[in-house]
Amino acid sequence: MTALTVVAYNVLFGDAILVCIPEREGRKTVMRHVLVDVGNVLAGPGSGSGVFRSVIEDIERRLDKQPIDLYVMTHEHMDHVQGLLRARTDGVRLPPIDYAWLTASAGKDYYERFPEAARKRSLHLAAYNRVKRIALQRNLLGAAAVSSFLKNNDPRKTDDCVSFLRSLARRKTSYVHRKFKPVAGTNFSFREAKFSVWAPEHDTSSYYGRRRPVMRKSRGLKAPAGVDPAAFEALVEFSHTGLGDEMLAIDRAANNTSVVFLIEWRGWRLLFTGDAELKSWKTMEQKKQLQPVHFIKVGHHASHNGTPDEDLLEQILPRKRPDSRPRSALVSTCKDTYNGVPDEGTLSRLERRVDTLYRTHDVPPGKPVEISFEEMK
Amino acid sequence: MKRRSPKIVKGVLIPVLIQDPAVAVETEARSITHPVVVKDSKGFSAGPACRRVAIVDLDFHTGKLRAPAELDPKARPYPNIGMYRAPIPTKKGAASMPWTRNSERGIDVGQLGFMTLDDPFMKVSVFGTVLRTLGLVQNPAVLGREIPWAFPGEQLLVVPRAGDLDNAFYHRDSRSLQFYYGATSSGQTVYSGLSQDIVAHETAHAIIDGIAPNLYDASSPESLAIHEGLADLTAGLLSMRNRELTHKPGDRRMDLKIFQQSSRFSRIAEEFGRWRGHGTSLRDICNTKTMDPKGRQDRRVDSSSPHSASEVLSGLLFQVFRSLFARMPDDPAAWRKMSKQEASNFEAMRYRVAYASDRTLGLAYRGLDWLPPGDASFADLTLAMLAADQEFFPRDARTRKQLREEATSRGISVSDSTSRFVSQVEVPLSPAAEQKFLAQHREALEIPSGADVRMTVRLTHIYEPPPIPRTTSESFDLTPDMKRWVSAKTENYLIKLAWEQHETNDLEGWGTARSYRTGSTIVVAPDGRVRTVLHNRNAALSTRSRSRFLRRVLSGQRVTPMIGPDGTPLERGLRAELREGTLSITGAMQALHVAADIE
Repeated sequence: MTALTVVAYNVLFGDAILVCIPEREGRKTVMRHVLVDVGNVLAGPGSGSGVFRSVIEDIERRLDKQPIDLYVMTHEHMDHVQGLLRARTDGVRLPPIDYAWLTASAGKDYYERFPEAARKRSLHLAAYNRVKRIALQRNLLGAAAVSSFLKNNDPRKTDDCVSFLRSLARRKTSYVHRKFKPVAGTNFSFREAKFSVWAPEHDTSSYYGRRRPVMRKSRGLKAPAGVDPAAFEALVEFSHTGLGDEMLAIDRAANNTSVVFLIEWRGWRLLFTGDAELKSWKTMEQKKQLQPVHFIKVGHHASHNGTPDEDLLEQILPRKRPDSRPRSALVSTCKDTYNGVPDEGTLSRLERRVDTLYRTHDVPPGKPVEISFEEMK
Repeated sequence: MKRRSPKIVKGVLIPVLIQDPAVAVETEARSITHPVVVKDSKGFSAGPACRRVAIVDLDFHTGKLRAPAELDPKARPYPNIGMYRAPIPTKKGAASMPWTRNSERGIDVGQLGFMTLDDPFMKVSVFGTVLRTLGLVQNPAVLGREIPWAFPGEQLLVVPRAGDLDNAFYHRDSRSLQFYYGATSSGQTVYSGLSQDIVAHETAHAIIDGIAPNLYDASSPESLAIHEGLADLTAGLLSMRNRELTHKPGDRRMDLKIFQQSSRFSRIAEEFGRWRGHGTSLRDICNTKTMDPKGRQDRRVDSSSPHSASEVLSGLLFQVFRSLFARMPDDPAAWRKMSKQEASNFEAMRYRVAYASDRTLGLAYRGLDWLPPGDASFADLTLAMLAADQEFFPRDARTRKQLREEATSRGISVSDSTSRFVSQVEVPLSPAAEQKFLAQHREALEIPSGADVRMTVRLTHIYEPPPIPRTTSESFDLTPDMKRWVSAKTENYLIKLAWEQHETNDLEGWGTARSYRTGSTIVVAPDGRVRTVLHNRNAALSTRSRSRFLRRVLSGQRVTPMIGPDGTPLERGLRAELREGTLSITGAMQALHVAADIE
């Protein structure tokens, strides 16, 4: 086989991507495999753990008794991390994995080494708990998007999955960031394909946004004596707003720690972006990482904030193409899980820059979309 | 028996914290608290609260109000002046109020102790600083009028400890100033409400919004930088009024040198700035920053960033302050007001600071008062300052010359293209007269045909402000007493006209044109004589920097309302509307501060 194949599964709202890479070893060609994430959300139309069994079985078939050479966990969200643990709990035998790359902040001692990130993380967890209490108080837990958001960001559930993923690799688990150097035989097994990590930064503290706390509603809160009641009402009303923004800020922090990596193989350049959002894209630009690619796994399930603005996108998918190779993009998403995801405007922007836009939801749940990259002379 | 209603306390003595606690230990100031006496005919109540400002100690984390600071029924430091029961927390425990009549002892540096979240002193101190800032701008030497807020109602609410966040902001819709706090990586808690600079800066935003409300919705970074620059200048000049900081024990003189270099007076929000990783402070008004993109690297600013560009304006006005401070003895009007006794002692220095500070703030705020509505550049503000100053201080050409030269040296192009306008108009004092005025002068004012025009006409006074304050003690009324300075003879009318202007939009995906607000100011004597005409000019640089600023703030945004997971629209502050290919922007000021992550 002379084609690199990206196999993206419809796992509803989540990611599960297998990359099959032929590599020359002497006169022989061997197939090596990278598995990127496996997971989906825990509530709403994008949820359903039943898909993982068929996904793992399909992966097993494609591996043809070989191990997964590299497993990449892009970031700590349930729609990216829960699938393998869930499948094993359901009695599915997982294929062996040689090497694993987990995002840097998933390291056990990470927050001991990065105190500012630890400080922000603790604020972030407090914000999560506060948002959960307010959602309960406002009777929002029944709303699919709120429930999905809360479960997807649940730190305890995520920790269980990450803890499991840390111990998956037979050879070595590495915690990767922009300065991480892949070395064949040390932290991955590829000889011909070149891997480079564009994000995240090792110190993740800059990925945490600044949000004012949203106030829970208190009964009997009245303007104190001497205070203009109308002004007080305006203040209290303002303090109750911003719940959606705070939820997205919590979500964004983990998304921005996504491992963004490039695979270069026989002239093809394939970019896997996890759920990196604008802050991460801007940092990648500042660090001069951005360069043209032929394939992009569209970030954050094609939400409006997972794909960079036009000036940055131009650096990745320039209108004036540097070569004649076809370009494609892959969207791994499920409608009606979150408001406005996938974002039609984002899809149109991408369609203007690529030849083919693949969507996982064009195939039935558990089934894959295959994208081939033939060797070109 | 008829119950007697409690006596209204019409004045209070308020201790205010004048230096960031962490920074205070590094300085040699006499005290880090300062007494201020504020009066208002409607009185003061628990909270603290008064007609213009009320402290609302609302905890956003718990949704509960903390107990208000109560007035102390027994405390009468001066006749008819009350006090709040707010002992100052010191390392040895709560200190009794340090001021009694004839005693102005403060709290020594290093004495200040741990401040708990429900400490009444913080409420009182924030209240005092907000009122002090308001008093500074309203005083006869600066604007000489009571400044209304930009929102309905008379009262600005102040939340001194809103929650855990490294931020503080003025928010028009909730009629409030909100101060947040947080822990540093070393575990120390930084309260933005304990920083005099931050409280004064945010209060200045509310004041500026009351004077020039159009700037809040402006879309050019220079318009927003006017807000920031004047707010920093106000905070910096307020800190110079603190004699506890300007005078070291045993030192009877205050040297000009202290203002010639970056100092604790010129550095804005030192503790907060360090916490946020901005070096020694958030910004420094003692600077040589320039708008000139070809200027020296270390002098250049990012013209698309309101906070960065603001340093040009604050630096320019601080330079004017320094010159005024240096040449106060040459001003006979100021010098002859001081007695021989005062001139010989260190009080003279306090008069000198007050003289230079009032003159500079007056120059700035009168310019702001006269600034045409809409998007304005530093050049527009400079021209407005020059025009107002010419009317208020016709004999002091030296200050105007310096302002003009300093602006030019900082890359602000102050061109004197005279506007062709009639010399006599009919003052439009009724809706019908406004329509007539507009029909007559629309063309001369270059208002595009079909543009809706909003006109306001306000009575204003042009008078000779006091060169130095009557005393250097800080005692002021929330309604400035202007009887000495204004009369029917000083009456004039300030006519402001605002409309929408269009320019080409180069932001991909956001239409082909965009609108921004602009306008004119006409100052007219009661007999209809036109004294001044000012227009906001949209320079090419403004268009370019507006594009760069909008590109930044619109990053990741869409025209359609964005809905959060909770099903409600996301709070973006900035509102972008696209109608028939034309983009219009509102709420940039709010987005810059409340949404926070833009800069």
